[in-house]
Amino acid sequence: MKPGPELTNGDAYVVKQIPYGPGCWLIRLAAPIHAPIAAGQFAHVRVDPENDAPLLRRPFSFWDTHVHDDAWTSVDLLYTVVGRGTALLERRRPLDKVGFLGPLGRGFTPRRDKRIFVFVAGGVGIVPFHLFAKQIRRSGHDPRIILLFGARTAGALWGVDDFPALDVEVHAATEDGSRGSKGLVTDLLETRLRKLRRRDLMIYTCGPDAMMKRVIQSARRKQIPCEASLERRMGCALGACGACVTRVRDGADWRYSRICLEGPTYDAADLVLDEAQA
Amino acid sequence: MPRSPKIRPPRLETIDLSAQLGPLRLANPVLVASGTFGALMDAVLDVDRLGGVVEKTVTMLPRKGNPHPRVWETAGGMLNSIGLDNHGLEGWIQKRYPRIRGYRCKLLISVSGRTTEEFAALVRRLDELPRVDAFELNISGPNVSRGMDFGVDPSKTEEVVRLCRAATQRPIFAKLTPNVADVAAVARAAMNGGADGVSLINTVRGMAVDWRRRAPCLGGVTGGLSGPAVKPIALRMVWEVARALPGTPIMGIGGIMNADDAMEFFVAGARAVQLGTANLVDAGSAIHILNALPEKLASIGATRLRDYVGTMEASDR
Ligand SMILES: Cc1cc2nc3c(=O)[nH]c(=O)nc-3n(C[C@H](O)[C@H](O)[C@H](O)COP(=O)(O)OP(=O)(O)OC[C@H]3O[C@@H](n4cnc5c(N)ncnc54)[C@H](O)[C@@H]3O)c2cc1C
Ligand SMILES: Cc1cc2nc3c(=O)[nH]c(=O)nc-3n(C[C@H](O)[C@H](O)[C@H](O)COP(=O)(O)O)c2cc1C
Ligand code: FES
Repeated sequence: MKPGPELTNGDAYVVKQIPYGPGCWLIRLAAPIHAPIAAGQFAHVRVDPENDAPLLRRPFSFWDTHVHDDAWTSVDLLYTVVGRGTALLERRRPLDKVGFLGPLGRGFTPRRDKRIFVFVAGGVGIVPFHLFAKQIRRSGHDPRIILLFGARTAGALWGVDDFPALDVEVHAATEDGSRGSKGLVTDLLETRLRKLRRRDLMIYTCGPDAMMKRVIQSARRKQIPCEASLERRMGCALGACGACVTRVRDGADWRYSRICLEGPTYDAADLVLDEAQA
Repeated sequence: MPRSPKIRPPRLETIDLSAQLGPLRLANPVLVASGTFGALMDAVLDVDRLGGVVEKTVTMLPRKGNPHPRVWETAGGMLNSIGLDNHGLEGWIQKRYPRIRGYRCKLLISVSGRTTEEFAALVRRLDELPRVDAFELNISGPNVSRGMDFGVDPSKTEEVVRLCRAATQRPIFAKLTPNVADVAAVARAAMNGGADGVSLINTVRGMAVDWRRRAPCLGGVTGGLSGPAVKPIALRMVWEVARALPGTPIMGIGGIMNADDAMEFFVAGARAVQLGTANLVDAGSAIHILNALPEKLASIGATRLRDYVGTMEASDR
């Protein structure tokens, strides 16, 4: 086998599933990996390796990892049940096998020159920020971390209560006003940005395309550096099939970048935003 | 030939999996199909053990491809509308060729031109490279044609193959589309044009609809269906070509997920198989199949795969 990135393609075992709210679970997998995992990277999971249905793998970000010295790593994924694959994942029990391909993609870049990190998350886009906050806190770099978290309703602020323990200031926005401010998280961002010193700031965002687009526009307007972590439908997750593209700048032109290979995390300055939303 | 199961099964390591497709000799009959292999896949798949790899189709100029979503899962399969996103000929030679030229399996380069002359120009240029083992002419991509799909027209097919034949001594395979009424007629045309064999099938043209948005699901509107759902179509077409043109080297493609699927293609008349969607489902699929094939052959008392190719008996109506 050729030396490549430290990728594992093999069976992982379900250790347990912990409820994290209605239709949301933390699944802990024991995976035979030893490669370091960066927040913002993801795993491509075959929900049932003994079955061809559902056919394709499902991509999930890492919520947390616990490295053991025997080369097994416990990997925590946090997922919401939205369709066939995640419904099947919900039914997996301890010692069941799932196919694990990972760690994949490029994670967030911790900007050590910035004193304040603003995380803007929408819905299940919260997931990579948990591992990111944990890794930042362990890194010795001690920025102030502000999480702006938007969801439809209070019950969909997945995992929100795990953040204060990581010394993260949480501000929620819900569309129905059931927790935090009523409205969109992007409005919350606008208000916050007015109160903070531009030069101290680094914005990281993950969530629906429409939300991230507005976050990136705000960041650009105020000339604040920003990284965005994207979601696309995937095939291989190995850069081979070309399923998972987004537009990035390419000199005066643009090109399609495969997010599983060059992303899912991008410097927002590189992204071309006028792409059709889907 | 299948023998009585009472005969002692042959030792697995003596089973001969090699395949001869015209002038192309493969150490074993398992290849990865065009468009489903590349980038990091060789970090998790031991390509040196394969019969060969078929590269993503190369076009003359770089192509950006279609807007997302580019894949859509369907019952037992998937649609794709990638749109031949590729570096273009010179980009491929610079960026991709150096990475794959050292593979110890056969390298098949897939090309697609907008005109017959462009097909030949692609082949001529690639033929200058020291390490190309065969060409696969993609005359069948459903994602790029604008009413000029060569592969649906036998005379166009023959013309494309003939021009490419004049451009190289290396083996040429024509990759056929299932989106035709008479696939054997197209296969015959390809062989008349000088092809060394045919690969079939490419994807089946299809569509997914989001009725709430009243919009197509794919960015490219229509797409190509692949995966287990297309296997029966592929098997039928392989069998039709094998029956109409006995002795034609055939690479079977379409919904092959495991060694049993591969065996079905062999008995239907394919000398080798290519995996497409299976690589996306599990990048190790080709190796799993390769590992399982000797046992499948041993279980029917066969020692050589080639004795078993095209042995399906099916009376004509
Ligand atoms: C890099 C990345 C990280 C992700 N991280 C998480 C996470 O941490 N937690 C989480 O709950 N979800 C995450 N998602 C989304 C998750 O992959 C989808 O919710 C999941 O694939 C849906 O599968 P399904 O079978 O339940 O839905 P279905 O709609 O039945 O799936 C059908 C097909 O569409 C694909 N698909 C559907 N929705 C999405 C989507 N939003 N993004 C990509 N593909 C989709 C599926 O993978 C499948 O191929 C992430 C997606 C990406 C690309
Ligand atoms: C994502 C994707 C991209 C493909 N790209 C190409 C291509 O560039 N050229 C080509 O000849 N076939 C292409 N194909 C077709 C496959 O090579 C194969 O013929 C088809 O998928 C049927 O086999 P399968 O059911 O095993 O996938 C592509 C298929 C998929 C799924
Ligand atoms: S999913 Fe295949 S290239 Fe990204």
